[in-house]
Amino acid sequence: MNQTLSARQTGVIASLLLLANKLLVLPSLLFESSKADGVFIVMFLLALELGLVALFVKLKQTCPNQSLYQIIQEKMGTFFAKLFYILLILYFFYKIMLIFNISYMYFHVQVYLDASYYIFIFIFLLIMNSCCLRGLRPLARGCEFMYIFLIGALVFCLFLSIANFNKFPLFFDSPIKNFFTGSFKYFFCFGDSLVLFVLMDRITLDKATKKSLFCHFAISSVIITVLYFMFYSAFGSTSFMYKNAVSDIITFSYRFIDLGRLDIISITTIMFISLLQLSLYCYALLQCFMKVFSRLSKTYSVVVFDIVFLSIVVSSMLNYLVAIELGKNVMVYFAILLQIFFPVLLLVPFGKRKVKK
Amino acid sequence: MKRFLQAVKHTPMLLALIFIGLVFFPIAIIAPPESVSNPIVTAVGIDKVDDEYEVTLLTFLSYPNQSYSESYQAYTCTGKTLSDALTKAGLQIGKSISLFHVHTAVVSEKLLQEDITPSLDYLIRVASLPQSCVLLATNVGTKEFIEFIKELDSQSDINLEELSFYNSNYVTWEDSTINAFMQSYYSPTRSIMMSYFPIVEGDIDGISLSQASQSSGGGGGGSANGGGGGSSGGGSSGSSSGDSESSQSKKELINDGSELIVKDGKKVDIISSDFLRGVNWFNSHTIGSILTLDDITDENFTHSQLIFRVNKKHIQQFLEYENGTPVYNASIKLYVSLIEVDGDKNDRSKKFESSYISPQIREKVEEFVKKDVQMVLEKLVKDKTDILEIYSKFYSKKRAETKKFVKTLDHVDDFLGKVAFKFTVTVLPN
Repeated sequence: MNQTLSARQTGVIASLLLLANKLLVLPSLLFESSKADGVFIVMFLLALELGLVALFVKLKQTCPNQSLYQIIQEKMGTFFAKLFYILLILYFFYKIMLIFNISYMYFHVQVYLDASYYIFIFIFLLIMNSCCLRGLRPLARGCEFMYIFLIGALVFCLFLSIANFNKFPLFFDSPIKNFFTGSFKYFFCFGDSLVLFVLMDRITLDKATKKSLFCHFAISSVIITVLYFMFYSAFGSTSFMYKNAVSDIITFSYRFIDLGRLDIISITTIMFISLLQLSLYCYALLQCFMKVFSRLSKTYSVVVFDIVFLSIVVSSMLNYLVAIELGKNVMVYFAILLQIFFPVLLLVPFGKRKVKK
Repeated sequence: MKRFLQAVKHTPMLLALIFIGLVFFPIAIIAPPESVSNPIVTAVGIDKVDDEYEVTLLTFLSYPNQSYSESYQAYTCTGKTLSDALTKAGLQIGKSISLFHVHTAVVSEKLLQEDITPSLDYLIRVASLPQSCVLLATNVGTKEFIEFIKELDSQSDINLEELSFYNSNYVTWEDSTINAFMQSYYSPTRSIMMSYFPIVEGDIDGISLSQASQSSGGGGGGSANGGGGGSSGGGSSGSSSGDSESSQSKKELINDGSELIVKDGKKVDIISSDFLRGVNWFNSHTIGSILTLDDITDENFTHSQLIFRVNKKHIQQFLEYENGTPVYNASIKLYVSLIEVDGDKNDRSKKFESSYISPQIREKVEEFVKKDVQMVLEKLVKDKTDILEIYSKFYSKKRAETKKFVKTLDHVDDFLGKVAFKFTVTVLPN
């Protein structure tokens, strides 16, 4: 059954995916790389992401009824289509590992100090599997239902941090080369819109969808940018010490101490956002998997994913630091290939095809 | 049952929910309460005794009772490192120490003889102490201080958190938290003002507490003193003249606006409330300062002492370089009201309006402010402690010139001494 997404669901999914891996550790890592200019890095990378979304729209307009696999197959052949999808599988798998490890670190520090890694795996994997087996529409409906609460909670966190505004961040205090180095090193944290490419045959692109897509993208971009700005203004020279940006911006001042643990708002928000992001990535990964290994059914694909996920997690003792190092040293090349090289390559044949006509 | 199984089959999420419930629900039911395995530590004191860390934990004890009183207990342990001391403290009380609920961290002046940053770094990065935790210093051992606070809280409901909060909002107008401390430590000038609460014996203007003499003595590692409410003395505020029994020693917590200047994580000096008033002339948020003008003689007053309150303050700062020298030019607008007149009775009958201002008063206020500022700058330049963040202000506004100028200096700490300060004070009725 070809389950199509509504205009709002498409925008909501894009918006939630854009928040992946950017709300907790990344502000601190970017500060280490280029001090408060991390705000400009994130703005630059968001602009590139916007380009990717624009490319998706263009591709969808050109081939409204085809899937990405079919498009590549038509233009470059089955081999390249499979190769591209294998790269996507690896990239999405890495993204799942990264989101999972960062979320685990966050919950472990903030709430469940005694909870083991395996309990988290157990819970997350079960929900991810369930969402994948149930299909795209229920998952999209879940995202749509939760979206307003999640965005509202994030805005509330930012509002609280604005009440504590202290100093303007000290911009342009690191060499310009750090800006480019930082943008390159943390490029792997972006490219979340690639999921839309995988789901493109489930999306009907009309005026409302385009509007919804760009509006929701803008909402997430503004939240991310304001978060980075507030984080650097609150923590200044000590920004490198704090790895849970969303929680830290509301708990750094004791002006709200009488209100108790305000970070419960951010904890709940991150919990739901992480679950939805993991489920979306897992769903996209399985779609790719089923294209590459077309004989495998959905259930078997989920089982294979679980076995691989558990084997890697258990054998490598992966934690978020290892995952980030892997991203900086290896996955960044995947990210460049998938986010820049392949989309550009896809554009060229379209031009030729139009000329031929 | 068949329908239920069919529903489960068509709803994998329900299956997931049941599965998670089956695994975690029994565990949650049989697990002991968190308060049994983890004490709720609300304040932590760090000190050094014979080259060993002494950690004192003020913990809230949760047990059912029929009154509304909260019961606290203080535990002290020593160790070669902080983690060692905290582990021993957990061992002593049979609970795992976690510091999530700590809202006050106390360090002694003795500990501040050396850089305390590594200790604080351990507490916030490893032991997860909240960064909003108030950081303050005291003149006595932290064990004694926390014992005092425990008694004070139980007897008078005055607690450190509220005192610090008041100081931050109405006295210093700056956060005195671990986060603020760390930020200053990693700033170019590495200087900060820190809350200071001394405890002194005798009858001075402070919060007094009568303690049984045997309860105030120091002890070795692992000692635990009884819960609150056991002392017979009553807490009182302000200058107390009550008689105490011979078996009790009278101690007072002093919160007179004095602060500690810290540089590179070490104590530099203790500053008085007068000095703090001088520091506050640089801060536009501070209001409520009291100006005492002596010997005012004008058309309405003769040799009178007039006391004004600053109700509003506007500061405009202009930072520039004149002939290569940094110049800090500030225009301060003070909105004051006359709140007290001390002089001839006739003076009061002539004029007693809160908005009263005369040319002589304007002149005196300007003189008063400039004198305060001069006193502050002389000391800060001498100690090379830029708690006013003058360097950072220049760096952020005039970066290229400041970088160039700093190259001509031996050290960035000399910057403050090279700045020319110019003040214009305008006094307006509120």
